[in-house]
Amino acid sequence: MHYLPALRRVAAASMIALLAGCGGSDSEDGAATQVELSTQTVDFGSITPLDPAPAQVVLQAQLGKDIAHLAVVHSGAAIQSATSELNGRTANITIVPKAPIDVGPGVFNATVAVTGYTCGDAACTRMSAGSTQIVNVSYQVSPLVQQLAPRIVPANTAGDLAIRGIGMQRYALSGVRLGDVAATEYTLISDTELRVKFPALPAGSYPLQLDAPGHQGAIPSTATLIVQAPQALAADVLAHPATVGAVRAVLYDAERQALLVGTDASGGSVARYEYAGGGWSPPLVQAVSQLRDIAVSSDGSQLVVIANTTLNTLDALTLTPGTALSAPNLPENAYLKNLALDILDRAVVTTGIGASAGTPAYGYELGGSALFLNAVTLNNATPGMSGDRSRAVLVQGDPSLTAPPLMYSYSASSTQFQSTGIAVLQNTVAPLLTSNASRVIVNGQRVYDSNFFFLGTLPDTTVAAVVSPDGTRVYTYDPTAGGILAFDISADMDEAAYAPLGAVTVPAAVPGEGVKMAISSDGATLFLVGSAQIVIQPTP
Amino acid sequence: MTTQAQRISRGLLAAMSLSGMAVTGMAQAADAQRAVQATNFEFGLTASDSDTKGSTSNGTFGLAGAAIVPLGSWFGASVEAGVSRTTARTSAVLVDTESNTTRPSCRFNNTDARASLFARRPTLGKVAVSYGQGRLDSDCGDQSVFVGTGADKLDTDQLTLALEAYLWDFTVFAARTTTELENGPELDSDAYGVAWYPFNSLKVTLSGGQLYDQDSYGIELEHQPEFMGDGLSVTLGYSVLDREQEIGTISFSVFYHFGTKVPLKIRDRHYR
Repeated sequence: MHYLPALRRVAAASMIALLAGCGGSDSEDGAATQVELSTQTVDFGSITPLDPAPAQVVLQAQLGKDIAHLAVVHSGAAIQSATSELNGRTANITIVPKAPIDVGPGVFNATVAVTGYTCGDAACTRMSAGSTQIVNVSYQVSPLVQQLAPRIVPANTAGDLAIRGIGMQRYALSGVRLGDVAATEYTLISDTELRVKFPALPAGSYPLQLDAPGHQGAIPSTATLIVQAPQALAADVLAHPATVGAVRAVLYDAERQALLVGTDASGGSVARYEYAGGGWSPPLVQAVSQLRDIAVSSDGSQLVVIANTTLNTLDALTLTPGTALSAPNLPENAYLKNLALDILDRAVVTTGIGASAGTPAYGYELGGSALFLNAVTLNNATPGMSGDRSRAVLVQGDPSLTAPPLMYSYSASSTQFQSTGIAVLQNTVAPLLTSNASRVIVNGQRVYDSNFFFLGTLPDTTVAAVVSPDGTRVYTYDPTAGGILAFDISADMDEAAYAPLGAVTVPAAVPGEGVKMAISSDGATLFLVGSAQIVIQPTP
Repeated sequence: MTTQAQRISRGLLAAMSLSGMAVTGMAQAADAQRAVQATNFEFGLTASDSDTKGSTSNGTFGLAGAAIVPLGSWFGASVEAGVSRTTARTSAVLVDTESNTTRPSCRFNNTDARASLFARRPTLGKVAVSYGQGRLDSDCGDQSVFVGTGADKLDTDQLTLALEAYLWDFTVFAARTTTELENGPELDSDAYGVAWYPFNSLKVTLSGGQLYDQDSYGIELEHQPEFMGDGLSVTLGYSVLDREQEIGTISFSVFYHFGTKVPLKIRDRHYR
């Protein structure tokens, strides 16, 4: 047993020697646990919500020899994914941004952390972080100003505009400009809706701009206000290109000084009359079989036409048709009856069935590939849209009805239909709304304010009507009275009759039956289209 | 009167009694020299928190257990197994740009097992050889990869040679571990240290070593409170891996020892 102490001394000396040897390692070998990135800044730039997602960015990471695991994690709402692909000790790190429509407008600063992990103990039962490299990702999704309405206004006249866009509340606005002219007032209604009052402007084009100090660069805008000098059009009479039984729609394209008339001539057609060189050109005619109604897009470039079972588009200048789309699940004997387009070119399409019955209303977004069913059923409804395209009113009912059905309204803000609580049986005069929907004229006879308070009446002998662009007047065609009457509807008549302004104006000719009316953007010219002919008449 | 036969028989009885005592004493001495006094088990919780300078910190929580059995007088064997989860705290490196967004977590799940064969003389020391296998699963962000496999799983094999020398109230130890990472390099690490038992129920261990050719050192206290019946041990430690991104690790564990209620020093040298 006496050799045990000696053994202990030998063992102790050996262990101490081993311990002494542990100080000689290469503790400065930091590169072995490092991650080196090819770049630490990624800027996806500035794009609008409707643009496709920016291209993904791939960066390289060099991994130190001791790194056993690579973790790529990210924060921030603007990054869809951050993944890595290894090739030896090089990793390609792919950063994919989210689609701008998914994140919405705003400035997004995201972070991608690239961490190399090493074994945390001798048996590698846990991992410890080596170096972490940070990639700073920036991404600006701009608000987008899409449309304004009315798009064409008369010169030297102040007015109101409705602006539609995306993400307009995401940045604090410091101002709204039309070209270089500041708006006199603006009110943000929602993220997608802005109301603007503008001063009297000389003729010209005025791109609408939002000023937001927090936004990098100019906020994209596709909205331009066209201010037109008065276009004096003399009284005139134009012939239909073929025999007309029923007039479907009348539109005046103020930008191009063209009158668009939809009728049942030759089974259904659209005729375009252009004013140039002091006279009206012969009509350009495009057949649209079983034509029912026409509306013009917000930018004035396209016409949307509906026939009994289909919807199509026509080029507003050449009338070249697009591809017809069928209405899905249209009930038997039902047909597409009327349509209205809101400020973002979303169509409200009503249907008729020739009897008192509810049929579906359809929706369609210009440029889309199909009509879709709206969640509302109406009885042979007829829509009328405000000049700023923010609101529509729909009257309904078949002449056989004894109890009048409810009148509905449609909001472009919500794209929802809502009962107005007012029961009225429609006649042949479609609802009329002033530019900002401050007045609603139903059946050409009853005037309501924007809250559907009844203000006063117009003659019940009215067969057609149109409101002035400034919303203060309504012009009616009243054959019983002998012609055209003008009324100031800015006042509240306490449900009494509005008195005509001046004497009746006898038009240049009798337009015939089933008259529909339009008015020029300067409010100076009326267009009365009947089965017999087209009458162009300066306003009284 | 005592007869000759009675004297002889008393003498024989006395001799037998003495020889019996001697045999018993020798047997007891032999028992005291066994590599493992008796089969024993332990089971406990482990936890640690590592902080890497300039990078993520992470916490680990796990369960571990071991069974130790004698193999004759000189040898013993043990089987150990553990499961643990490490969670990296990514908030330290990801900027909080939008408070309504959640940060991805980064987790590693570990399962491992190890078998050891050792020879020990409780008065001298211990020589052990261990072989173990482990698996790590990771779940980090959108995609998580181990460099060797290109996937989110990594298998490991380890071989360890360990030496312990028992010197009065000190134990000096050294170990070398070679860990093979799946489709990856071998990781050699060394550990050296000395443990001191100021009391039979307390052990203070100073250790050093190398991991990835980088120095590591640490201190650990293990206590087995007598009021817990010598069945429960608590360990608290701190270690540092000295490199450019220095890692400091605080560890804590609680183990319960089934069946063997002996002081810590006795447990370490006669049972573990």
